[in-house]
Amino acid sequence: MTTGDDERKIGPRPWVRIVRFSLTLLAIIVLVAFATGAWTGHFSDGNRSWSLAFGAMMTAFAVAVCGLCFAAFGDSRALWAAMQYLPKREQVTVKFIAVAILLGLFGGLIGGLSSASGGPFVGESRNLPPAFAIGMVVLLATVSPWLTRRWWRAIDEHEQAAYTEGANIAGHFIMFAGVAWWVLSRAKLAPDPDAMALIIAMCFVWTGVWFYRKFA
Amino acid sequence: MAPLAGQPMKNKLKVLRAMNDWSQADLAERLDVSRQAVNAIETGKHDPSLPLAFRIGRLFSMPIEEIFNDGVEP
Repeated sequence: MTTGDDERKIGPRPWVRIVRFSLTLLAIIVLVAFATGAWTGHFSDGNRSWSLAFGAMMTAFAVAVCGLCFAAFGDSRALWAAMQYLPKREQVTVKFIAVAILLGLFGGLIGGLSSASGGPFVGESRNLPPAFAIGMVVLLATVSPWLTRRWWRAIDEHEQAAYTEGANIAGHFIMFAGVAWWVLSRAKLAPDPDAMALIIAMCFVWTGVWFYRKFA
Repeated sequence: MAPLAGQPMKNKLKVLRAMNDWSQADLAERLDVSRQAVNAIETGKHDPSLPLAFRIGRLFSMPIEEIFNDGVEP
């Protein structure tokens, strides 16, 4: 039975409802932030028509979306305080979503600054400096698996199942879409397959299924 | 008759939760899962693992087969 102590421990339900709603909003923000990071990095290549200015604009857009979402709740400090009333597993989700947002924004910033059409991270040759590229690869090879492992151990079985189903569907999607694109390109009906575009598409499908299974 | 493969398991979780006057968040806290997980189990969208099913059984002091029903007559 629920006791008074339990109520105090779990907290007032309106707060829980607010935080639940904000979780859904945060999920949308993650998609925006991720898309900003990936798309900025991809289309800032000089061979494409997306300029540094547009990349920076998209990053600013993601920041604005985050700000508006917090503003919508009037008092983000109260929202943050309400976190303690969520089940512990959901607190973990909020923390990792915050990390994902920051990484997405960081990716967008790096993508914009390392644009092949110009930026402080590229030299005269329009190529990335080797030291910078190696540094990014080392980060991807060390921090990403470490963070992923920590996150995987922190989430519950329901989210693990949602994430795994997303991986399954995204894997099949990319396998079929990639081959279809390659076949069309061999018949000169489409441009050559673009690995990064396929990876971005895979991530969208993966994240979409994962969030749908978790929150819908 | 055996249930179709992939058919969701039926359960009394929502009823048991209501009898205890617990919200989904209350139950999630007690089971150490997210509220979304409780909702998914209640609506048959997610079948819990055996360890979680045992935790649910212990929480309500009931055997698992009294809470979950696969639709097969014994």
